[in-house]
Amino acid sequence: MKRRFNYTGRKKIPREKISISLNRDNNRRPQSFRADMRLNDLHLPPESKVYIEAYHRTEVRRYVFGTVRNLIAPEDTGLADIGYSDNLKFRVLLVDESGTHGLILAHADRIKPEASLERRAILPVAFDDLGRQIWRIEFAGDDNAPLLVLNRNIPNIENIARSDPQFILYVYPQVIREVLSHTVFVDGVDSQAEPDIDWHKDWLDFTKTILPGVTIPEILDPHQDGFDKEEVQEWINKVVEEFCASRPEWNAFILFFIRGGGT
Amino acid sequence: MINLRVLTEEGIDRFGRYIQNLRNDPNEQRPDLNTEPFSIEFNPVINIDDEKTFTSKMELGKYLAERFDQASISRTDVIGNRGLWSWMSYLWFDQLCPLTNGSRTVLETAKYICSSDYRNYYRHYIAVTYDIFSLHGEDNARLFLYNPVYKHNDFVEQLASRQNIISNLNLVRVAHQLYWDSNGDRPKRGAQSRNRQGTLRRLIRIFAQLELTFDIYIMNPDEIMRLLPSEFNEWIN
Repeated sequence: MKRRFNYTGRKKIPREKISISLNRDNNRRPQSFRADMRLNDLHLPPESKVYIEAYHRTEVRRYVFGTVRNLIAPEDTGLADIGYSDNLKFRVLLVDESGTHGLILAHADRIKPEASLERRAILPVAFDDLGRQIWRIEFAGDDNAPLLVLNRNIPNIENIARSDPQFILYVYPQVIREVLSHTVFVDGVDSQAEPDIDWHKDWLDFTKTILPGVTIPEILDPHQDGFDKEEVQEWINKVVEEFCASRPEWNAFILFFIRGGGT
Repeated sequence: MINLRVLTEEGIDRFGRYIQNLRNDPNEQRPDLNTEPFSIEFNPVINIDDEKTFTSKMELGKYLAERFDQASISRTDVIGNRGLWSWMSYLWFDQLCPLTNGSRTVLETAKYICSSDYRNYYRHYIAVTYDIFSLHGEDNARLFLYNPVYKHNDFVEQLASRQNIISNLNLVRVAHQLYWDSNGDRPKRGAQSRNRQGTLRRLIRIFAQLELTFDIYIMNPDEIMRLLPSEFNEWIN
């Protein structure tokens, strides 16, 4: 993961202090946004300027929201002239403009509007010509999010992936293991409680639904002090074990072999 | 002339297979994708010169901007339309992947078929050309668009792939002030080097540091230039 220096002591604005929602037209295209921010207890100069930027790909628009002391939404929070209005993200910046250059005092980035949090799939599926591979994971989504790629040359692969007990019990445990291992050992998660990257958070939340009684290891970044590789591996093993144990396909899986399948 | 069309998912899939087959057989016949269900006509109707030859990406960007402007089509209307950009690659494929001495060098598919993944979008020869031209205009697109349509340069690979930089006109202007040779009408020699000081890759690292500290969105190019370390002095003027 990228190591970043913070010489100026800029703060990170906790996500729960910011809420952004989109107003959409009949075609579901975002037309404008509304932001609710609670910034008073960040202990920053009350005259700090507050900006929100909406961005995606090559597009960025900035909106002035007054100051920390006096938050005022601009009259125009229009998004209609943004070229890429799907998958918009937002960043909030608190800036000290008393000096020669605006100094960033605090920020929150990669904020997704609330509406898009509804029923977000944590493992989107794509189809491609994989030669003789049946599947593979590609970290090719937003922020290198995982994507399950299935070989489109296999007849009916979409339904197989959805409901075939063999596929489910052979493939998905390994998918979970690979994604979690990648999350920790390749990317590293800077804060387990508040991951910087949305899909990291989604996957950690997913593990909590599988293992509600087990605490996620506190340090999930191999570069941080206190990182315990064995603890992480044990946690991943438990998640995979519990995922398998929770699946209802076990009996059908066994029955397949009892009936001579696979021989 | 031909009416502008948009490849459907089926058309994109078929185009992708054609590109894949070309890697094994340079004489693979190009399929006709100018009919349904492989493509549909763009609305409103826009005429495109299918025989036009472009000497540079800049010329291509200008041509497309003119065609869209004349039809009152805004950048917003087309920029995210991957079927449109992929159809254009299909239309001008021989320019994007020229046949030389009986063989073609077929590069990664994302250069011809516009990716839906924003991190690979910039790899598409035509989409990124129009995107940058329509975003920053001719004067601030020179570094990216000076070379032939079948080639990306390091400025595209390094700058256009970074959303925070390519979307910021002031940073793009700084890059032009440092590295564009207006007399030679091309980038300054060595600007893309990995071994010299103050070159493009180093500038990207400095931008990344500056944007963590300063509100560079509202800083003009001269203000940003003053924050650069002295290693960049040799590139000024």
